[in-house]
Amino acid sequence: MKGNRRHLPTVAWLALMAPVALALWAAGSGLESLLVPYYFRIILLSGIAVIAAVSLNIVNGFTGQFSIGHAGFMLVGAYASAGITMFARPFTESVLRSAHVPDVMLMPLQFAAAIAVAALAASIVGLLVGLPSLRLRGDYLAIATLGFGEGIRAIFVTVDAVGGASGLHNIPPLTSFVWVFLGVVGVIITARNLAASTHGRALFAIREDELAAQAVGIDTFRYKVLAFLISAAWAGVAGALLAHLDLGIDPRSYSFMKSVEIVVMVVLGGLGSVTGSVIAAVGLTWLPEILRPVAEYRMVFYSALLVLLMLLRPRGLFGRKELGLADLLGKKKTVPNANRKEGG
Amino acid sequence: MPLLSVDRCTVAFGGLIALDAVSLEVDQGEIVGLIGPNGAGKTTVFNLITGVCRPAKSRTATAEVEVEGVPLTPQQGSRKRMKVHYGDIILAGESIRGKSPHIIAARGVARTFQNVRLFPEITVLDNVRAACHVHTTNSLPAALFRTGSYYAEEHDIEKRSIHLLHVFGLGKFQSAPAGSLPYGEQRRLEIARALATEPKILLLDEPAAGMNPQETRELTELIGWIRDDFKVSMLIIEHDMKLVMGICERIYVLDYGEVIAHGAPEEIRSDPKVIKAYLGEE
Repeated sequence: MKGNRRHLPTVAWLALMAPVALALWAAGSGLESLLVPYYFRIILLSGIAVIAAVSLNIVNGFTGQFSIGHAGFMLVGAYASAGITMFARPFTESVLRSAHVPDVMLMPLQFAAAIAVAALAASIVGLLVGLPSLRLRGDYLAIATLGFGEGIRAIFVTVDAVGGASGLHNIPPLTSFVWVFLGVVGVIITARNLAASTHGRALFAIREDELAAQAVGIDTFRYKVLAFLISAAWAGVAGALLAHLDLGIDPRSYSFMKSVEIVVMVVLGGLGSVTGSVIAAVGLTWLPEILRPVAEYRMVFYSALLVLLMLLRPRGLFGRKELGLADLLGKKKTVPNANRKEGG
Repeated sequence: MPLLSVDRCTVAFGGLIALDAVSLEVDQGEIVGLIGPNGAGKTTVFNLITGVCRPAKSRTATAEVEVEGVPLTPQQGSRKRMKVHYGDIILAGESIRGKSPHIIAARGVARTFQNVRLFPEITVLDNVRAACHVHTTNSLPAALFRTGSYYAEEHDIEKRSIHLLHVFGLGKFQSAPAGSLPYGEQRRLEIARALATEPKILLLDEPAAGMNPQETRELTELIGWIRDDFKVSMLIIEHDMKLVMGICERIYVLDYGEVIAHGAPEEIRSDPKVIKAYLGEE
């Protein structure tokens, strides 16, 4: 049984998950009608934060390149997706209608296209930013990505065609529980499958020792750019979901502080740990809301908690550990290869 | 034809000539020693071969070319008569001069480092698996969607890596972080990792450094055995003369960036230039 499970392609897994997804769809709409909209919104925001944090972890945690411009990629994704669902809407709708797509499917299909375009646009920008800046290391790379994040925001603020400083408004409310859920599942699968592959090990090797990685034949520059691309694409998805949840884009909310927030999630969860990023992203999204009653002392508590956590767990909540389905179900963890004797 | 030949290569760091028109050859299946006093440029030779350092223009070599009347690879755009050249590095008949380190590694040059450079925080097994990367063919989408070919290749990598670890007596450490191993094991793991890239030639940079006589003896056996079992040639930088004299078929002696002598161990031992470089003049 165990052997079979190991060899199931992800596609098969997803097919098996279809009934679960359907149940979730129902649960999502049930949740929406049950919960106060305020809480429901925070749930969705947590999911979007998870997408942003896990994707940043691919660059900062897996590859060891310190990027702090993630909000910039989210912003690109947000504008790109809004472009599809707002400005290109008459066109895409007429195309879909002529293909006899039923009316109920019109908006979901357009949103799917918008998210895909957001991922594509963000990854193209990721490539453009990554090619020159990934030649830099450490602090210098951090400063370059910081400059990019702020620069891209400045561009959107000054271009009046996309709303200028006041941003975009009246974006259709398309972000639902299911979309966020799919995004979260997608980004986690991307990160975990990447980590378990030869490509992921190339990234880890770069993080551990770049010179040694080159010496064993890893094209370090190519893999750094690749990590940057994948990460930017998912940041674009997070941006698209956020724009269609907020029903508008306020460039100011995609500032340097937003990037830092995501970095904090990654570091707090544990650089390199997907599980850690997920938990820290959810936790740090809920924390300010939970602290609302103490109003003006909120930031004090927030900061104190961060300082305390870093003191107690300097390598983040999870370090580099992961928590898989098997652990949750209480099974004894099957450490790959540990039980096997001779291989060859 | 030698497996590896470095032909009159010069390396300069700013105004400092670290290597001056150095030439050396390693034949198929040969174990060659590279010795010399501290700062002679031995590690720079490794960096040159592996593409970490690029060869610079060479004047000494130019003069030699004119004398011999044999033009080497001309520098692009250089004036007539090819006054300047960069020397050449030939591996198995193909030039690897100026190539990136990862390409040179893929062509079959593997190395270890003077101060062990493992991937310390990933497991021992993953250190070796990461080195198997160079011969993988699976695309990124195959990995993201875990296709059949992904499983087949990962299984193959795992099998090969575990085998390699067992051969090097590191099997029991495979799920420990590489940085947690004792020093001797770290050195062995570094060699195992280098061999995982399936090299034609292995460059060992002071493999016996920090080892006691017993460990050095074991290492000497290991090196001979690696040559026979993995069919690799080796170029070894080492200060332990017993190891060098015991196992190397030929030895190059480097001093101030120049090859001052080369030949069989007995010849080197009695060469006055070598004795002078090591001990100074009377």
